[in-house]
Amino acid sequence: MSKAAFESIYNQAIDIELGLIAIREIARHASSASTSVEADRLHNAIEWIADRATEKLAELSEYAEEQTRPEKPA
Amino acid sequence: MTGPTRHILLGGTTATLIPAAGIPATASPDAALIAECVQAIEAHCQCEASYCYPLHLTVEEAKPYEDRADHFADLAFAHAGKALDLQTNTLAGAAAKARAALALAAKRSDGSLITNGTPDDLAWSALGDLLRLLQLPGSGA
Repeated sequence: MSKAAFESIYNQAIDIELGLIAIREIARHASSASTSVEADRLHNAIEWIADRATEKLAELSEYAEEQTRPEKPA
Repeated sequence: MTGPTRHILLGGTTATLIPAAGIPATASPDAALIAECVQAIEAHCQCEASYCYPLHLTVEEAKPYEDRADHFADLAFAHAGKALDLQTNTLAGAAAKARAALALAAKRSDGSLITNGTPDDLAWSALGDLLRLLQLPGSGA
């Protein structure tokens, strides 16, 4: 992974997290998800997005581990 | 979820490698949208600050403060309305909308939110944007 690719994924993960934090907070008090079906759909949508954020963070974590792993002796 | 939590991943990753997280608004295809959201948040902050006047003031004395607050509230919602009219192309744009929604949502004295109208519209629009952008390969890059 190049530095540019890393920064791109990093920024995407941050943006997703920032968006999710705000949406979760509003969803906690949401008056628009008034039925249990709507609330379930909202919850599922948020969790789906959170899973995508987790995937991106896992990619970053893997890259970070690669970078910090000591090189094998030749 | 199996494996490490997002919190641990985020903490571990940022502790190891910290590139510049901020994307300059001018470099983003959502520059106009992000700018509207930032201006909405700033106007909302000005609105809240306008209400910080001495409690002993009479209605007449407090009027300039109230008028100022009304002005900035109108401004905040005008910017938020413009943001709603703009297309969202990036995750940064969606995040900006969500953050503006949270900033503009009215707060009760116990800290809970009153969500309806523009903040609600912004939040659900941002949620829809995130769902749409994350389903497209290479979205938000």
